[in-house]
Amino acid sequence: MIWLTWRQHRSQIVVAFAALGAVAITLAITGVQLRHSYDDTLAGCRAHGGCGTALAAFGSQYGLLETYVSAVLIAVPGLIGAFWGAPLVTRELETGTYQLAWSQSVPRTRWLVVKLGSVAAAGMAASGLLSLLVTWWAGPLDHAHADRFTPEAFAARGVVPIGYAAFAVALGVVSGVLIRRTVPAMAVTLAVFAAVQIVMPLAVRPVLMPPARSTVALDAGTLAAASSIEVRGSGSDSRLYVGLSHPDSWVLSKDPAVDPAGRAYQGAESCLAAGQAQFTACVAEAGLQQAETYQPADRYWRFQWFEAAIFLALAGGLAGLGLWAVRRLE
Amino acid sequence: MTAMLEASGLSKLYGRHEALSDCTLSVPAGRVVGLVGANGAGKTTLLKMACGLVAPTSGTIKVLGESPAADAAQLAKVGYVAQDTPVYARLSVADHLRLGARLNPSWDHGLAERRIRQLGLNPAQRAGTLSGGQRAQLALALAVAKLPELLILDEPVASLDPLARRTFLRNLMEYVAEHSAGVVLSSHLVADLERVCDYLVVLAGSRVRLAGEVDELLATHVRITGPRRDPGTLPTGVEVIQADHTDRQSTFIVRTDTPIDDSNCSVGELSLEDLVLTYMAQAATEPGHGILSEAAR
Repeated sequence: MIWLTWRQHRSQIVVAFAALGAVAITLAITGVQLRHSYDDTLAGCRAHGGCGTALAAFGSQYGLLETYVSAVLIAVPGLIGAFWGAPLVTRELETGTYQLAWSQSVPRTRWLVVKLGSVAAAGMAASGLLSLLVTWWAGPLDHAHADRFTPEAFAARGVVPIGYAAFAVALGVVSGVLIRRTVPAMAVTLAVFAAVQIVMPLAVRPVLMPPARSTVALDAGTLAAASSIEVRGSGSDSRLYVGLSHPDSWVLSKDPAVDPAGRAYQGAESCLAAGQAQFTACVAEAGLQQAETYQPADRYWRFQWFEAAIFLALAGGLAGLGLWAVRRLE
Repeated sequence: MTAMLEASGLSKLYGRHEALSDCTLSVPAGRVVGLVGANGAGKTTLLKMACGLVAPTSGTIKVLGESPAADAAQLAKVGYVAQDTPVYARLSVADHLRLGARLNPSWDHGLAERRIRQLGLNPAQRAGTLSGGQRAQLALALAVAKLPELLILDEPVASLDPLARRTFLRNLMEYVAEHSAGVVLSSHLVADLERVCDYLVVLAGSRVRLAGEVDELLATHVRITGPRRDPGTLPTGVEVIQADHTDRQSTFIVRTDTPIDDSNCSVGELSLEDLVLTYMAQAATEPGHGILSEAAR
């Protein structure tokens, strides 16, 4: 059965891994350049100061390339699901060969288990290898951005692409078994996969673990390290929000800054009136605090494994549904 | 001995269309069964149910005493050649044999290779480039090399030219003789089946119209020709299947267990084709059949 699966899919798999090889070579070459550039940037800024600005410039210099690389890695599992998963059963139905396959001495549930399992394994291997490469490649950029939870980066690093690949293949096979026609099944696979990739970071990932909450004193030090300082509203509705520096953590929400009595701080406007230069000192004197809800940086790998496990479980559920449906197929 | 094919009240509905209704059959082991019927009579549905590719809507079917496709052992006992003999277009002939070898524990590789050699097929050729006849032969080689106890073939010769038809049926019969396997073979042409079958099932309008051993069917059906008369005047125990009247003459096709001895008319034998056409015509003229085809339209 494994032989038949290999014989039927070997050209696709060979082409896919050849493409993966080409991508790997490209990533290896640009990855080495990226590292040189990163080391030069760091050496330069350590000598002359202003590392924050220098790293931001380094990050944006490679921003476009990084977007493309991440997009490829996010698209690969979806494409595998549509081009390998969806036709797995439908092509046999459309050409009538299911009658040949299902009248050999192999029950059709086992036939599907082996085919789905082998193709899913190949898809997971391809996505996993690509993810490994991209995770290495983007290392300097991830250091520079210090924002690994951002959705495009999270979905294109570590172990989650393996989960996505298993899910996409099972999704493609089930769409095929239920819809029975290749092209609609491919379209449905891509649409559902895209929808899941949007819903996951927006609605599911933030609540996978109860977020942490911390209150930070807005003194001269924290204000100097802040990534942004915002004043929203005016007069008695004026609120101050400081983008505190938590490298690599995921800030879900932040409260407005409060004074020592716990009231929302309204003095930002008068501090601004004192002039840009004095603003930070003016705010720091008020003895403010700001509370934030966030997922700490050290949870990154827990999130990665957790999400990969969720997608593997979804893939398992879909595979079960596919086996149930293929037994009723006629 | 276990019946090779046993159906009881077997029906299949596709939506509101009845592909097969209330089919009851019991075919003894080791027969070569001809399943005849017009296109759309339900032949493919019945055969697919026997292979477990289609599940009955109601009723039961047992093949060699077991439910079709119940497990690997049952699948191994039944060889199936589907209508239009589908093969994997991109796999070579040799790949198909390898497929058979890996998916069937009872596979006889020598037999498969011998057949391919006899047919002059190039093992390296892609199955998609084979002619219809070669494809049918490849499908038959695959089905027989798993050494089944029952071979089910759905219109295997429909797309073949007369010579290929004859070769195909000869190969089939060789296998049956060597391995004493049972066969169910469908066709809408009696001529294809006449030479090879010893058991006949006629399907028309999704129902079984006639089933039995060919010899027995031929022995119990006769044509009576004589001066015009009312069917009621025929001897008792005679079942009229078809009656034709001209001004002066009447022709009856009847089923009878006793010989007809009537000096007024001549009694003649029927060919298998006449017999089948009689039952198919009978099905076509019955009032229920007209309504059924109206509903199916």
